[in-house]
Amino acid sequence: MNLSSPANLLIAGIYYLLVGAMTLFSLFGVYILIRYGKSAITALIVALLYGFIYLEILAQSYSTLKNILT
Amino acid sequence: MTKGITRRLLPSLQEDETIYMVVREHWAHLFLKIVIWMFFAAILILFNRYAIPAVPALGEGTFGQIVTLFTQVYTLFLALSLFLIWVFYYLNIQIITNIRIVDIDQVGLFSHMISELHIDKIEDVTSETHGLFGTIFNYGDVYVQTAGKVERFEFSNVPNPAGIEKMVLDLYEKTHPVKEKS
Repeated sequence: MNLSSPANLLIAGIYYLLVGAMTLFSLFGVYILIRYGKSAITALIVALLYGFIYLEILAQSYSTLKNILT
Repeated sequence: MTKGITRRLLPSLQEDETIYMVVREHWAHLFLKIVIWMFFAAILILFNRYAIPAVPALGEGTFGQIVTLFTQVYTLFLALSLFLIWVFYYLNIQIITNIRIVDIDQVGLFSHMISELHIDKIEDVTSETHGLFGTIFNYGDVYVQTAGKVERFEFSNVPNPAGIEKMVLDLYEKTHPVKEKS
């Protein structure tokens, strides 16, 4: 990643801020769902499904970010 | 709901306690939230379908990659918001037993509240149905007034509010048979 230019730094900064906050909320959402959902099978299935979809989109977006910053 | 899951939701369930009802928000109210979510999802679909072919610069070069990154981050936001809508729907429940009413509230991500109210402390029960969808699909609010520390219990957007009100009053009358006779 090339963060020497101000434009790249700005894009990376905004990306990490937004995605960092959303990942934090996602992790906490999954945590409360499993904790207060008392490990019910529905809660576990939704948490797993969401985790898979979220990580898949996250990986794609990170790959796009790397392409922009190279 | 099976007894095992109910016991996990309410671990303090006593041996002589019977669960009469487990209430969540009405599906129509959940559906309204999902319709609002679909509006934001439609913006992304329309953008990808019409804006990018109409303005080729949006899909070319570095600017095109920035647009792709934006749509991917927006998709993450959509996935997160749909997930949280469902989490709040799933974790907000009210349980009515023959002894008490338990209100489990997930208020935001960082606030979880459990309130209990013994049936014999009830002073007044009110049910309200309001709005077009509430009237059509028969959902609304139930308020239980008590003399305790938590002065008012509120069940928001629950199905059949009048039925819940009647059930709570019937349970109260079962615990106060002498008052009923006088």
